[in-house]
Amino acid sequence: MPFMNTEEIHASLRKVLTEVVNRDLPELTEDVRLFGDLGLDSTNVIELLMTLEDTLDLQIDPDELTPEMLETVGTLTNYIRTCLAQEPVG
Amino acid sequence: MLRLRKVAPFVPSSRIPVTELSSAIGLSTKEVRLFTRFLGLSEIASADGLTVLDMLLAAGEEALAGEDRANVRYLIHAHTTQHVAPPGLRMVDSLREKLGLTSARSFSMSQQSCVTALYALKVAQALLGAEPAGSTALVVVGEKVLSAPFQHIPETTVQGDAAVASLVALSGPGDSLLGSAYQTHGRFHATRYMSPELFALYRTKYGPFLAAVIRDAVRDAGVSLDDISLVLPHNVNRFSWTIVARELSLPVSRIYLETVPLIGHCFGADPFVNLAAARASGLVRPGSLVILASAGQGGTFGAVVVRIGTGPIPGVGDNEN
Repeated sequence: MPFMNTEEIHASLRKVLTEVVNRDLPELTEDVRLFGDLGLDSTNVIELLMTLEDTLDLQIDPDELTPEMLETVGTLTNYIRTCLAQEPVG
Repeated sequence: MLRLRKVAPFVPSSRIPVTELSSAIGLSTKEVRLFTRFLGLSEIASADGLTVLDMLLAAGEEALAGEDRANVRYLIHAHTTQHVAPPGLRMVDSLREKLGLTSARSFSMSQQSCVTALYALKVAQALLGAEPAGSTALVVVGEKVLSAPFQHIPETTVQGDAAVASLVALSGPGDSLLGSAYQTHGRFHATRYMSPELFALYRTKYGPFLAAVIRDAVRDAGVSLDDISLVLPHNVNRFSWTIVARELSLPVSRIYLETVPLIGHCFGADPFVNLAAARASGLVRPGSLVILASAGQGGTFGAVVVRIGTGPIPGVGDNEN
């Protein structure tokens, strides 16, 4: 997977989040909370993760997911960046 | 104070991989991926060849082993779905007779989905209060998946088969029930038939409601969440408990999720099966405080706080069938 900067990750995240919550979203700043501000729940947050896997071609390890990683747009962006960095080349 | 004198699970030895449920109950490839990769579900226990009565009888016999059955004043069958098939069978009466409970009155209860089993403890406590000292009650929990709609809660869980019998009393040895809490949010009564808007609200509220009832039970017990060694959950899935853990500011490691991939969500039996499994594995010891917690379709939530006592320690290994 090619390198993605924060803006590119936010853009992908916004596209996927809009599909998952099925409504227009406010501006996605780092401190926007996924559950409190965007209305994600325990079911559609997984739909979000599965769609991220498919669209960004990354592999999420559910066992290493912590609630903190899913706290805000910023923490999820950091997690996505970590996953992308771990993707094997080739 | 209610004592759980003995908690005896019956978990059938047969297993069905979730991946093999696709054709049987119509799981899509995407949902199998959801269950197996993200929700922590792998296999479900299957009582193939056994009836509900067989399972309850096996659990009941283990709970009553070495006990004076004449002291058993009540036999209570707590089940999740509102009807247990076949409808013509007087199953609780049959069970009472087969267990030789000649002094017991028997009845069944449901209506609170997967919280019914925890609520049955409160009912048993109230009923035993009017009985002579030394009286006991046998609370049996269990049912069997008989059709696809009962085996599958879309995007949430798949159901397995298990039973448990708890011999309870108001005195004597055993685990002590220190406090409890139950909440029913009736606006969600239509379960899978809720409107999309209400269903979305339910999914948002599920974690906070379950966390709230756990906090209420802890408060009722006069302890704090920091005192709790382990939460013994219903096995609906692993991920939803990470949401509850976040609500409670509790490390996920303090929620016992080891049986989720092994047996699936076995209706109301899960918290009790998990109590026996955690005890058998040495994760809880005499004096430990634990919480049994569950939520049910229809907006029911329940939790009880228990101090682990000494006494007989039934295992939770696979049973012969």
